[in-house]
Amino acid sequence: MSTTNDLKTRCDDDACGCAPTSSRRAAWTYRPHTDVIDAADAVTLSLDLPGVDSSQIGIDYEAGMLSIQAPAPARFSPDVKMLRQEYGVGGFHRRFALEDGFDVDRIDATYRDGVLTVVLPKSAGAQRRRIPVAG
Amino acid sequence: MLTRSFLTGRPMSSGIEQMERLFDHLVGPAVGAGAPRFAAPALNIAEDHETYVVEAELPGLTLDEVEVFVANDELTIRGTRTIETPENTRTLRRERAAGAFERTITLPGAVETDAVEASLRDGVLTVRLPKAAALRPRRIEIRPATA
Repeated sequence: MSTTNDLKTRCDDDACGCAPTSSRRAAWTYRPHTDVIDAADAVTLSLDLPGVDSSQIGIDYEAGMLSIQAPAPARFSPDVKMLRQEYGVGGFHRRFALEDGFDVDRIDATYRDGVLTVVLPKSAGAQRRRIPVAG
Repeated sequence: MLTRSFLTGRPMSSGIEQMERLFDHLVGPAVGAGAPRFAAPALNIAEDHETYVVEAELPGLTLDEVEVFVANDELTIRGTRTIETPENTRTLRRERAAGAFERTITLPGAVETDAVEASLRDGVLTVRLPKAAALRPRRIEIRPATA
């Protein structure tokens, strides 16, 4: 699997890299590359999901687990002859374990140019605050 | 603004990989030098009788960030992906590739350079290159044998 850090998010690796059932790897599920940015009031996930129909993206939260999935339809007709195939095209799936402290009812997502941005607002009590020192 | 274009290197040491929770503020930023790069984007290339089709996944790129050149049987795709990290934030994970990329491939045959079309949609670049007339199959009329 990926050699990148699993810092602070947990991906369900079992859900990725499923066995291919076709030579074009359309049946594979891919684990999208993701950036996680922590700001004072929210954590933002940016996922590379090229070639996805935004209406087909599923974002589900249940019991501390945020699950993001999207099918990616095949883009080459079966009639063509593949001369080179350096990457596979298939659906995307990734899960992130969230600790307490997010306002999950206000999770917001946008898809643009093949990138899904998910904003996870922190609940008021969990936001980072600078405590002024009197004196 | 800090952009990722200048960042290189490998992910951090494995000791930090054990941290798996998203909301753990006790561990400092650990991924600063880990931005992957895509110096040469992966390509899928197909052909039918009339056309070569070259595809690359370039998520996050807009039209003005990608250039496509074609000359004879050579196709060049180049561009730059810039990922900006807002100020006063911490990067907890950085997996998406950024930076300048360029790749030139030689197609199996000549193409009609004037008729090449490229489109970028939802992070997928598709370049359609009609084959040069001499490479396209031509139906040869079979004349009836004359006695």
